[in-house]
Order: sequence, then structure tokens, then C-alpha cells
Amino acid sequence: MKRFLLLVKESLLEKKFVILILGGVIGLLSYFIVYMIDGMDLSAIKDIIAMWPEEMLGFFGDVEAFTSPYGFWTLELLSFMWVYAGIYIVYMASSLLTREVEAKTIDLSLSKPVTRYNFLGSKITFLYLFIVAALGMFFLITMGGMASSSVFQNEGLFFDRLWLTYIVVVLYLGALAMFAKFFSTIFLNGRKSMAMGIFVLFLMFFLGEFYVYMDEAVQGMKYISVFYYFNPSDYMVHADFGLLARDLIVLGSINSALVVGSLLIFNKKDIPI
Amino acid sequence: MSKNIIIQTQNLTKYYGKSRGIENLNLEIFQGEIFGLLGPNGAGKTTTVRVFLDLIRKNSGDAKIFNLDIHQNSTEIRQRTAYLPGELGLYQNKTARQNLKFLLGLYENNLSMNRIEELAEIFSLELDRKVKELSKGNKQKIGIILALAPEVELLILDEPTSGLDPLITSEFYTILHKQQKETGSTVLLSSHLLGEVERVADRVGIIREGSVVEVATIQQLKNIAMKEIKVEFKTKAALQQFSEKVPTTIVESVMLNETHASFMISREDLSQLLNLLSQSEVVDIDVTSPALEDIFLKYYKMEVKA
Repeated sequence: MKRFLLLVKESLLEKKFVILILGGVIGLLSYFIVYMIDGMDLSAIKDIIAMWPEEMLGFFGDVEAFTSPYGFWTLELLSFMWVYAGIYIVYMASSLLTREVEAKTIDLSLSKPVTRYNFLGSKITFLYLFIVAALGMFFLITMGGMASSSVFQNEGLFFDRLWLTYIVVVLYLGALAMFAKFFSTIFLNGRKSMAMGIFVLFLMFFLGEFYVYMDEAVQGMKYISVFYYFNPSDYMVHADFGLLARDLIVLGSINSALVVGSLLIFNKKDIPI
Repeated sequence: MSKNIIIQTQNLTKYYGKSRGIENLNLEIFQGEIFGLLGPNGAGKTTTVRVFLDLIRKNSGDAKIFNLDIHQNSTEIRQRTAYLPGELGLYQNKTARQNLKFLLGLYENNLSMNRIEELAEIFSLELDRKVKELSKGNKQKIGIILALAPEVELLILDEPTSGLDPLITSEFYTILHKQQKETGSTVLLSSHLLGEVERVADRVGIIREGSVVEVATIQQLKNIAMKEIKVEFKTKAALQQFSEKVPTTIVESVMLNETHASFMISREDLSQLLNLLSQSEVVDIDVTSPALEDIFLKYYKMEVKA
């Protein structure tokens, strides 16, 4: 346990500024959008949006997704979280292990009394702590912004929804990261892992978001996409806790399966010279 | 009294796909000895060491260290082992001190920083400089401290003096010898620098095409090997007479030049040769044992012939 914690601590110390920068920048962006919403008349754009084609409106959610403060904030922030944080986290997840292999630092670490499970487990734990900390900052700054906004005060401060959504976002980004981590244990090569991680990210985005435009026969492919189980508008605007529970369970299961798979694969791999 | 075996392998085999790493490698290394594993690049030295540390997994055969299975009990083995890899990978953005503190902190027992500082002073290493700012030799010193600082029973050193100047190399072997005598630890030294191995190893194993082809003390190897004889005869005729008498089956690499002759001969045939020489008009004679390098090359010439 001491060695496991030491390995986690080393990774956290190495990335402490990245956590602060990523969490801080997205947090400030969120603060800015909350401030922007404060000065906007969202109901005025209701009529314009109502004229949009049904498919287009369906793609973004519904009219409320644009015209309620929580809906607008969710659309601007959470729906694009895979761009703001997801791509970087996928990059980090794919390089965390492979960088050690390519720089040969893994030889020195694994020649000490550290099990493969502990070694990779520490990297995975770090990834989740990174996401929890960076998103924690983002959500805390957002909550501060909402608490000081008259529009959100009038709408009601739904911090319970916000916290539950936070957990789903952690699992959603965690699943994207764990796909990349899973590939990195298979290839033990930075470029291949990164390429596969990004490819899977975009493939799942496509399947999870654009399935309505596909042939009905292949629409079932949406179920394999992480994006299909991430519906922040439904949690934040409609307080659909049934859907939230389903998404939590599915995303949690995807994360668990990828963690276990990565650990099992890495335990069997030869460390390349 | 039988010696304690620290490392024992039986038909240890590792293939990387279709290409051979090691094949049917048999080896026994005893407690308290410095064992030199000799072989050129690609012979299987690094694969052997990495299999021992469970960094790569064997295909077949058995290997035990401290009488423990190298895979099932790898964590316990590594707790009692220090390793210096041939290609040293350090955290470039950390200082030497941070690297040492982190990596040595992975051992169960707490390590005293005094020992690290003592070794750093001996090797003139600046602990608070970032690794990326250090020369290759200074980086290697960090590796040496990583190997010498922990209190372990087995040291596995892969090309330990690569990049070091002769003074530091000499200092390293002095400390290694001293520490080994004090603690009774065992050292597996993998190298292609024959002179160094000859100087420090109690026994050497020659590895060829993934298998150990010879294990012996340096003296035994020298005894097995042929002696080089250089003779100066009084006259050209005396040399001619000698060359007619000597059986061609017992001499190798014969070179004749005016009144000088040089050739190789095995120890068993030495007395027969001296008898023949006693009947000749000899001015000078020089009998030399070959260096380890010549013995080593002999095994690799055998490979080329095969």
C-alpha cells in the first residue's frame, strides 16, 4: 500500500499544475458563461429556436435546452466537455504508461518490489484523481458563479443536480480515458495508443450523437457509445434521475470493465527492451 | 560443505515471437560470488536478466532465485535484489536526489539518505541537479548508487561502468568488492568488457546464441585454453629440424619466420613439446596464457565454424 500511494503521489506531484490550469481554465469559462447568461434574455430566442427543423432541435435536446439558464449552461459547457477536457485526458491516459516504457523508467520501477497491479493501478488511480480534481475545481467555480447570479437564483440553485451530474461527468471522462489506457496496455506504444484512443473517441461521438441520422437497422450501435450514456441536459434541466441512474450504472460498468481488462492485460505483457 | 545456490535455471527459454532470446539456458550462481555473464550483443544476456526480474516472461524451463520461483515470487525476489539496467531510464525532469528518493523508496525497508549522500560524495555526483542537465557518466553514477545503496542480497548489474571514466570505474569496483565482502551479497555482472570481468569476477559464464556454453573460473578458462608459445632458434636449420619433428596435430596457428616460431598448444601436449624443444638449439622461449578476450573469441570462432 505504501508503494502504491508513493506511485500515485509522484504522478500527482508531477501533474499538479496541469490540474490547476485545466480545472481553472474550464472553471473560468464556466464562470464567464454564467455571467453571460445573467445579462441575456433567453426567452427572447425561444421563438427563433422553435422555428428550427425538428431533427436539428432533437440533436441539441429541446427548446428548454437553449432557453433555460441551466439548459444553456449545460449546452455550452457539459456537452462540449469531451473537447475542453476529454481530448487532453485521452492523450494523458494513452501516454502515462507508454512514456515510461519508451523512456525505460519502467525498468527501474518494476525491478523494485512493486507488482504490476500496483504499478498500473497507481496510474489508473491517478487518472481518476486528476479528473475528480480538475472537474471539482470547475464545478466549484461554477457553483460560486451560479450562487452569485440573479438569474440562477431566480431559477433556483439546484446544487444536488449539479453534484450528481458531476459524478456522471467524472465517469464519462473516466470511460474515455480508460479506453485510451486499455489500448496503451495492449500496444505499450504511445503513438498507437493515442491514435486508437482518439479514433475511438470520435467514433463513439459519431455513433452516440448522430445515430438518429443513420439507417434504423444500424441505430442499435448507439448502445456501444459512451456518449449515448451522457445526457447532461436531461439531468440538469428535466431532473430525470431515472436516466441519470441508468447512465451512472452503465458508465460505472464500462469504467470497471476497462480497469479490470487493462490490469489483466498488463499483468501478462512483456516489458519491451 | 555445498555452496548455497542463489540463482538456478534449468532449460530456461524465451522466444520473442519467432526470434530467439534465450534457449535452454542452464546456470547456477552461488552465494557470495561475483559472476560475470559474457557475450556480445544479441547473445541473450539482457533477456536472461529481464526474465530473472520478471520484466519479461519465460516460455518454458525453470528459474529460481533464493529458491523462489521468478514469476510466482517475483515481488519478494525484487525486494532482495538491486538492478542496474544496461539502458538506464531516469526521470529527466527530476533531480538526481528525487530520482533516488523515489526509486529507492519503493523498497520495503526505509532507506537512509546518509548512504545516498555518502555514495554521491565518493562518486562526485551533484544530487540537486536535474537529470536532463547531467552528462552520460553522471547519469550512470545515479544508476550505480541505485544499485549500491539498498541493503540487498543480490545485485544484477548490466554494463555497470558504461560511460564512466577509469578512475570512477576503479572506485566503483573497489566499493562493490568491499560491500560484497562485508554483506556476503551475490553479484551477477553482465558485460562485454572482458578486461573488467576478468578483474572482478570469481566465475564467468559465456553465453552464445541464448545458451550458456561454458561456466568456469577465470583460471579454469585459461587452463582450458591453449598456451601461446614463442620460440627463437639458434639457426634457420634448427627451426626447420624442429618443424619437421613436431606433430602437426598438436599445434595450431603456426607462424614461422627466419629463426622465430610461434604457435598455440594445449596444456596436455606441453610436455611433449618441451621434450622436442630440449633436443633443439633454442635461444629463447616464451610461454603465455591467453587473455580472457582470446578465450572468449575462441568460443565465438567455434560459433562461426559451426
